Amino acid sequence: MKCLDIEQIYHYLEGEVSSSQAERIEHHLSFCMKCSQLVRERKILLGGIKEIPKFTPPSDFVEKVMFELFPSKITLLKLIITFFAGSLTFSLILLGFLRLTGQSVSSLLINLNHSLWQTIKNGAIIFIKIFKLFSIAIGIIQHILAYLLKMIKSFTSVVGTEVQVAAIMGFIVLTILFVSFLTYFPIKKFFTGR
Amino acid sequence: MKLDDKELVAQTLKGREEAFEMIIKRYQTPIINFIGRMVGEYQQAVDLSQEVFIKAYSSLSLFDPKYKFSNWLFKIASNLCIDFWRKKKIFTFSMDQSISSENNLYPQISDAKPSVIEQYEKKQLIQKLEKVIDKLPPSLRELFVLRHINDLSYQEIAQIKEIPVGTVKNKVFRAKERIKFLLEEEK
Repeated sequence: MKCLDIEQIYHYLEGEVSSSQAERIEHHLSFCMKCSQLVRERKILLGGIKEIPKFTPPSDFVEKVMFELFPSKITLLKLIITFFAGSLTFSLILLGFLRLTGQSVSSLLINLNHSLWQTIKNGAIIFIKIFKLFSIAIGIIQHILAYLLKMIKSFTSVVGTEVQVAAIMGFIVLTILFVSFLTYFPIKKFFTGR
Repeated sequence: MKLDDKELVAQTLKGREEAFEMIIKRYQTPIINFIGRMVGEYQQAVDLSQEVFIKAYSSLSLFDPKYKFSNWLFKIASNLCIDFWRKKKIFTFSMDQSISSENNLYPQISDAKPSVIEQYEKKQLIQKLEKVIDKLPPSLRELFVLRHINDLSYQEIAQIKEIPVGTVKNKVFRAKERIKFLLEEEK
């Protein structure tokens, strides 16, 4: 038998040859150093290829595809599961709480009612305080605006109409640039996720 | 009882969605691995694989039960990869392209000098292999991946790509020798 060609070596290593052919090849390899070296190298290569790590699909892959294909049904199923899981958790927590405190359901409801009124009373006080702070802030802003108007009035009495128009335009452009700069990155992140 | 692919397809066509869910579970790993090695990016591979299953579902009524379902699915995946490359304007290929016209892509194989492949440690060899697979021309990479990553037979690949078995064998052989050459170049 003459020396093996490379394609034949691969077929031999991958079991793609008949048993009689394999026997002939093995006999040849028993005395041909050159072919043995070629076989050894390809064996290493194929061994390495076999061990190339596999990609693992993301854990939610099936769910995502199913959601794409049947969106409404998946949502309904999820809603039902969420509702039952939520109800069960709430019931368990309530039961545990009643057992621990030794209260009955009616006494718990009376206590809750009392706490609710207390919360509303406290909330109302906080609300009035916030309202007061808010009106003070409005007063300060009013003063600042009045001062700004005075400044603009004295400015317009000194400079001509063209300069006034240019100043207003400049102010508008600067405001747009400032707002765009502030909102560009959050908007970009919102749409691209980066 | 494990249902075969054709049975699952028939049940899906009857409106049993969970049958298609079983198909996805069965083929998600092979499809992601095929596309992953083709496009070289994991997230892109996941997105394209989702598209494969969506496309398969929408054209399930066109599936001919005479053929193997997995071959049909890989065919969809292969076409999506080609579309992806076209959109990205990456060099695409035709399977009808003659082997001789590809000769300029490959070095002349010479085995006169001893190979450096034996000098690699196993871990290092695997890392290098992952790298050089990305460097294979798409026409060879696809057949190589189907054969050696997805473990499909030459006959199955020939059916997926609709080319003769001999051509598949020859191209896979060329891919492996190209990989060997690239590994030696990297050393």
